[in-house]
Amino acid sequence: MTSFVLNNNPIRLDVDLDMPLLWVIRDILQLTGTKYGCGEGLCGACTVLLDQKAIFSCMISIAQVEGKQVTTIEGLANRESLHPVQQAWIAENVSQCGYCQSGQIMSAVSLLSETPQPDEQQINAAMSKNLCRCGSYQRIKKAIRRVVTHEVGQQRIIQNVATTGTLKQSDET
Amino acid sequence: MKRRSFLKLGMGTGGCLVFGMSFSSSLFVQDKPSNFEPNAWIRIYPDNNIRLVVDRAEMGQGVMTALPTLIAEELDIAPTHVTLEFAGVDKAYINPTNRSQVTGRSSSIRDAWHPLREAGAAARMVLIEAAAKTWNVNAADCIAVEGYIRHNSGKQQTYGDFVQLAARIPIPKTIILKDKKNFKWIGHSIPRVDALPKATGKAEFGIDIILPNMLIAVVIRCPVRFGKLKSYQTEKSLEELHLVQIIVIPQGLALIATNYWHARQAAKHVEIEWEEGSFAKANTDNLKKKQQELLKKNGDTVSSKGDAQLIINFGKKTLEAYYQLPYLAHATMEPMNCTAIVNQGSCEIWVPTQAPQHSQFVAHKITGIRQKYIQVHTTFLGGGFGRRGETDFVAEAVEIAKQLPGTPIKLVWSREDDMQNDFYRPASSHRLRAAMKENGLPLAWYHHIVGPGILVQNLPNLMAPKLGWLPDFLEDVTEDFTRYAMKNWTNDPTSTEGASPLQYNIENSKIEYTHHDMGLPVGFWRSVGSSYNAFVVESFMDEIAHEVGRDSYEIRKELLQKNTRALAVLDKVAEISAWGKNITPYSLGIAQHYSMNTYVAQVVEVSVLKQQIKVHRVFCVVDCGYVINPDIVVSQMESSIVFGLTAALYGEITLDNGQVKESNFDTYPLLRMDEMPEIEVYIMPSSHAPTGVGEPGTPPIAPAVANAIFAATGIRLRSLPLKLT
Repeated sequence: MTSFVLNNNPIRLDVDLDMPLLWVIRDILQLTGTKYGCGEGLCGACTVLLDQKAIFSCMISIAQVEGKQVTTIEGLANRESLHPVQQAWIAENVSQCGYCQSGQIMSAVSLLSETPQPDEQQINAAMSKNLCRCGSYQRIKKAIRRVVTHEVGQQRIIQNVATTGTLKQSDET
Repeated sequence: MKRRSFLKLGMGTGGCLVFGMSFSSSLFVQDKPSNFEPNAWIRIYPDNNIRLVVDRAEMGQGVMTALPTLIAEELDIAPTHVTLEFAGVDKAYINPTNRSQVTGRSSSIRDAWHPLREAGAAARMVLIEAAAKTWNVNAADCIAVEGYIRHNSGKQQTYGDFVQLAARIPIPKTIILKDKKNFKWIGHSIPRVDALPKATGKAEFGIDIILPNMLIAVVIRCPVRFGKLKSYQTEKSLEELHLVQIIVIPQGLALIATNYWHARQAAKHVEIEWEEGSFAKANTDNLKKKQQELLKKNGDTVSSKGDAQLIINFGKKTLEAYYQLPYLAHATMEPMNCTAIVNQGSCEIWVPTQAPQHSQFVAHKITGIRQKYIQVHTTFLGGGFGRRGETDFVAEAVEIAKQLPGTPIKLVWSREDDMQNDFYRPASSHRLRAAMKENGLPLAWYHHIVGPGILVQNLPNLMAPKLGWLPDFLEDVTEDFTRYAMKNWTNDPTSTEGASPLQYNIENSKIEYTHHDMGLPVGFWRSVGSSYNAFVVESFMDEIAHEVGRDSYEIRKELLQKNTRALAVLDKVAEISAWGKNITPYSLGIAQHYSMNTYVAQVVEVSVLKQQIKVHRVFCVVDCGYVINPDIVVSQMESSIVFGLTAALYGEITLDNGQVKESNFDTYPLLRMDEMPEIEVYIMPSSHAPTGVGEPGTPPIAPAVANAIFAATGIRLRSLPLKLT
């Protein structure tokens, strides 16, 4: 039996203690926003927050998560609004195929919570753990900068959301 | 007179007004007017919601945003009111460019540009007519504005209110399209409709499918491609292995569990004896040698112009060079996967695919179930790039599901499975020769390509669904396709595109091709033949420029004089990159290429420090005709450049004793954030019809970087990946 907190919900599970967190999240708890990409900690598609820090969920067993807080992409937004990083992602049209983006967003959230004003090198260092085959890197960087300069950023984001009633609609489909 | 590309079909379920459309641009022969077959549908509902059903898959290229924009513009309603659905498999969804239901060759917008707008305009006109009838006013006094029909008295009602009557009104003879200057959404960067689900983890990819009682399968395959399972044994029970079942399928051994982890772990405890077969002798070192030998002979003539013998008989200055490019994997971020359930007499498949029709056919072949009882659901694709036009993973899932009737099976490949069982970008070798005139311009150009052909290898698969298709459809499609295929058998166009016809105006030229295949499966890889031919042609053009002491941009300019669009793109990239002005500390390289009907030119800024190549900035100019969504065009250029840079700097699949050596992102690295150059994209204003954007940004980047490396070091790199050590 193992217990931890997932997206603010207490979880108690009886699973193989060797099972990586990734597969517990995806196959047992059926939260599919966190992706499998390589299984070796090479691509970052499976990035989640463990006690607020980005980790590769494919490289950590469920036993190592005991008693800790896990946040996945599904736990980022609150009821009222998306996380500022998610808003910035939408405003910059970052996603293409979108498969790596949950991991990218979690890495960015972790970076910004530790380093609210990251410089170029800090962004590169944190975000180089996450691969994107569609090459959205330039937009990822722009989105992170947009969060950093949130005064300007927020205005533009709000404007952007306001012109797109689409967002809710596409969410439902 | 252009034939009509749409048809009003009257009332549909839910009381909606239905239009059928036919996307009709074609690489092949156009349908005869009598053969109208709708392959996309608009449904306008009484609540003013509009659904567009098309066969195209969303793999990042933005069709889900761009296609609804076309309809919305003519209907004058915000694109957010138009929801796009991925169509199931039906003969109604055949992609006319490829003559089968495939998303590929950067064709979606090209194909949809006229039909979608015409259908939207027709819908607008019948709705106005219906309103005029209802109000007993003159239709000329009514307009459609953002979801309402408005009479000049100020009276207005929603489109939905007139749907029922409009269904009975014939389409007017003359369809009036909106004047482009009145466009509200086309040409504007409306946000991607998939941005929110993809930023919240809610977009459902194939690998995310969850069904009641579903089991997860992994397949253990012979490490040597094409090898067969002889026997297997395990000392542990299914229970000890946490497995539900072990199943032998033609592709290998399927391990089935309630979750991926247990299925994958169990593989460690199963001993398998393989029959490796003759492919165990294959290796890429030998292939390179063989290709080099073949280059010394003559190939089949693909195209020739003037007297290409001049390169042997004439010219004081003759230049010769050999080039070589490796096999490449697609490495989509979402590994191959497919979910299938086989019931008595029916089958249902959930799959991230560029080719739902082929997927359906494969399931039909395996199960014997008639195609009309096989339902294919296309999910979001976690990258395609051509890989998801194949059906090998569908076949595996269906083979397993067939042996467990009634149980949904989700087959999930590991990254290693994905890397080592791809349909690779063909490895090719090239010999080029040029003879120069006294003025330094080339007098003659010779290019010989040796490599496997995608069509030659895949034609039976590509054609198969048509042979098994409904009789009326079978006839013309198979005929066209066969004619096309046979004509090009000796010079597979997928191997020679980008090299022949030569884009540059050189009086004497000859392009040859020798088909040579070691048997490793090859497939369509973003920009296909252009992905390697552009590297060769654009690098060699640079060699010629240096040989005769001319500027790399100027020589191209002279040789493209008659090609106004290519020339304009080239001039623009020289302008925005300040070519020749020496204002950057870095070395510059230039390349241009035409593919998927689109012109792209790029200039890169590169530095070389201690033999390390660093790309600092990329200037990219694209002419893709009229632009629907500029921001998506920009993002596709960024994307294709990064894709091409990964190939230029890292990409190489090698084969040793029939086994692919690369297995994960440590041995097949992709470009990362810290290596990312700044990319500036400029889109040429154009009134031409829209052309492809998903692929044409890829071909020029590798030669531009190689040319910049030459400028920096004086070293000419003639093989990929580019390495100075």
